[in-house]
Amino acid sequence: MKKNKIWILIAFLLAAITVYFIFQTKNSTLNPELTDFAIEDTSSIVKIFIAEADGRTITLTRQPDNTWLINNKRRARQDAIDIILETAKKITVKYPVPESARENTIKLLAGRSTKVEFYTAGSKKPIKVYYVGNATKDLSGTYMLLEKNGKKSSTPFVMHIPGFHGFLNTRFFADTALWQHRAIFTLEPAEIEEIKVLTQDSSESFIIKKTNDGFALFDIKGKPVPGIDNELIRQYIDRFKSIYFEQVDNISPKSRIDSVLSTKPFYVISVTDTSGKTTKVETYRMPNFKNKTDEEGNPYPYDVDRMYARVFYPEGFVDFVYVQYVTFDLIQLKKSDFIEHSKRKNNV
Amino acid sequence: MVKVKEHNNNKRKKIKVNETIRFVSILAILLMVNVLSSFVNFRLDLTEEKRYTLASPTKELLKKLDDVVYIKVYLKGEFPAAFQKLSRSVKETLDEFKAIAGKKIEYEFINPSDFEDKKDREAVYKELFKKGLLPTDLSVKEEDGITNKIIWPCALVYYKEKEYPVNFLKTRIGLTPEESINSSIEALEYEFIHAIDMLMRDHLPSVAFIDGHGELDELQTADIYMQLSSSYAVSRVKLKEKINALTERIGKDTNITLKNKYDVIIIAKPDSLFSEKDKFLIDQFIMNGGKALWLIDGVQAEMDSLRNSDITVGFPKTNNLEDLLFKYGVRINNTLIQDLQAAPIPIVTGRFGNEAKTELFPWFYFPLLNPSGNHPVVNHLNPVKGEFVSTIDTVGDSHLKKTILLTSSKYSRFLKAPVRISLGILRLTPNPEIFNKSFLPAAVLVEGKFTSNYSNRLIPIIELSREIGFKHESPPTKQIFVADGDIIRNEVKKGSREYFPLGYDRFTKQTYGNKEFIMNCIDYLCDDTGIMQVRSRKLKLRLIDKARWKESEMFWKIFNTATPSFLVILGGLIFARLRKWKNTQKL
Repeated sequence: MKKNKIWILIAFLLAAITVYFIFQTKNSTLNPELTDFAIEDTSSIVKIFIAEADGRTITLTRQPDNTWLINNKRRARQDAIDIILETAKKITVKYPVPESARENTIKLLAGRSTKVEFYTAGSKKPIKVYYVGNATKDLSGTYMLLEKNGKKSSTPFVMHIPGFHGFLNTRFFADTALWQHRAIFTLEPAEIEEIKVLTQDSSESFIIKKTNDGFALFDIKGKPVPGIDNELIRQYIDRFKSIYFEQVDNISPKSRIDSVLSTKPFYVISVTDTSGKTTKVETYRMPNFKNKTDEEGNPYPYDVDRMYARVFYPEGFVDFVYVQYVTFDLIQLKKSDFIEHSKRKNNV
Repeated sequence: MVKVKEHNNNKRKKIKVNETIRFVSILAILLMVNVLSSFVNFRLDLTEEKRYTLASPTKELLKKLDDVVYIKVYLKGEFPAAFQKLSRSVKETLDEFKAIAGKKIEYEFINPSDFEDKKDREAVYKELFKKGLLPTDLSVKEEDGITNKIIWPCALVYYKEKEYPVNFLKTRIGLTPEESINSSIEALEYEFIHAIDMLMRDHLPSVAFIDGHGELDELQTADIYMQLSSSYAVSRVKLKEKINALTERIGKDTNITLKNKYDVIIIAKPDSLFSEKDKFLIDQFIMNGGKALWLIDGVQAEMDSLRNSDITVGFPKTNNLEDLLFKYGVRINNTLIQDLQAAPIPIVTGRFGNEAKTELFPWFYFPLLNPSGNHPVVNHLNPVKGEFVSTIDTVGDSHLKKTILLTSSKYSRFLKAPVRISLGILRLTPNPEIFNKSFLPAAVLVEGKFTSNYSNRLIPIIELSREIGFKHESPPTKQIFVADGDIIRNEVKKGSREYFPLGYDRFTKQTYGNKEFIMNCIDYLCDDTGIMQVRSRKLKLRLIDKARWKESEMFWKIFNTATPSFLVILGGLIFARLRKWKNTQKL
């Protein structure tokens, strides 16, 4: 029996070693603790915290309807969220930072990196934290460092996404203005109660209101405008499905913004939805900063591509933004446009 | 009596239980030792050719590493057994590297096809291809039919933010898949250490194509130029009898020292005469330790002459280099090799309706030159396609080491120029009896200290000039002489600036070893660490002798099936007999 005990002991010992080796079998000699940047299931991520070296921070949180909020207030751009989640999923080591450059890279990452934290539902601690540094010289990789259990790793890596040539640091930013969703009006016709368009010439202003028969056109005093083609009104309302601004103006000095706002708006468009919430946008001409000229070489009085706009959201936020004529020309109509178009149609 | 019997019964039972436990334990131990052996990297290299021992230059270079070499191997996933074997060999080689270099070698096996999204997968494939990695398309039999699998038998080696592609698969004309994989395994050590060596270099060695004597132009050498550019600083240089064309002078007055501007010069198929001054410049480049690859025709013969006529004449060709080459230990003869092992050319054999009917015939003037021996320059090399190749003789100084690199086949002969070259020979059945010369040399490597062609021939004022810095003898250096200029020439599409890869035969769609041969020549000439020696290692492929196997197939089938069962039964019988004997002893 004593002999058997030795055999059994050896067998158990070997079994333990075998199990150890089976779990230790790796396809990589790199320490997985240091290279484990990727998050396989990004659908479980509910919060992303980004802090830039200049002190700016941002928290993005997933809502039950899968939209994301910036600092629990404003809606975030879905395309940017998709990119950050895709990056978190596909990110992989391109190569370890050479030993000769390691110290310098760590210093740079300590001073000038962006910290990113990913959280899953119900966990107070982030499941992944990393520091994103600069791009490599050939712009095909990005220096990064992982943090585990609150401790920064001592080994930075050059990270990339296989099949993508470029750097990743531009995907992680904490500028609220850049994260902001760019929608002004995204309403289906059925969701619209009233559209009010004020032009500089008040006789050209109009209101479109929901009626029992659909929608109807009124002048600014509330008097119905007769003989308007319903199809034209329907087409106009349809355009409020996707009206976006180009970007928040966080470059212009306050004096310029004040000067713009002191002028009379070019158009004021207010849309009230069926729940009574109103979104208002005021558009202002933008000076011809780029000095574009017409065919005869005369400079245009205003920018021919863009305008300034002030957007008043129903939640109480106000944005000063750039908008493009290509978008706004669709909704900046005058009352006479409807009348003339209807007349032409009837003549035909 | 009953008590004794009961006692004996109990004792037997106890022994039986104990023995069963012991048997199960030992069986488990054996099983686990077996499993463990696949994880623990312990190996005694008892192979005849020391296939698991790294070469000394490899070890030396690995010991010199001063930063991490990171290797991404893309050979991971589910693929045929041969590639699994290759993948295992890659891992073993890298483990051997790691054993020497420790943490300075890191590697990772990656499956580039491991992406759910087809778009992502294709983007990765594209990226790898752009980096110089070459995939293999394999048809794999599966339960629901045959599927095409893309395998990447390659790796990317990173060192100090630089990367270098490594392709493992060595396919050669006439090799079976097993032999190809074996060749690839043989070359693994060289491929990896060559990549590491290239990455470790602070500056790229420089290679210059000599121009100005009717040499092959940029377009005719475009493919090899591109290939060389990935590892060398390549340029073209016109000598124009200028003293500073190949060498530069550092310092002033009495302190002038001469330095070569290039590591290697390539003289590719010159068509006109070299002036004595240009020859002198080349000679002094060699005397200063420079290396040269000479690709010189001994006979003037071109296929263009046969486009309008069935017959042309190959005349002796001279470039005024004969004395220079003779001094360096070789003579390119004014002869043409005819070889039964030759590349084919298309010949119009008739008409089918309005269409001309062409057939391919081996053109004996285009010999497929074979590697001679297993010198690093030619080991694992496909046949090299030559066009109107001359023979080369080694002559003169015996202190120079001369190695024949390429030869004709066993059935060849040579004709002295002037020689009548006629397409008519294609109509005749070749008589093997007249192809009675074997292995005619066509390329030679010469190594050692060369003596200047101008030694004892110069007037003192030139010989003693500090500006010229004349040298009588070179330090140990190397030169390669090839008796055919077309070996380095890529085909060019007429009317456009497009060119075919070097060695590619557009008629047979076959790629010969020309490009690899030239690359190996330059690698060897530039190699001062001896790494190229690693290329020459050969692993024996111990394949089943199919003829013998067919003869004794049944015997071995029965032997392999019955022997294990027989041994188990025999063991069981011995064990039972022993146990019986032991039990009777105890009672």
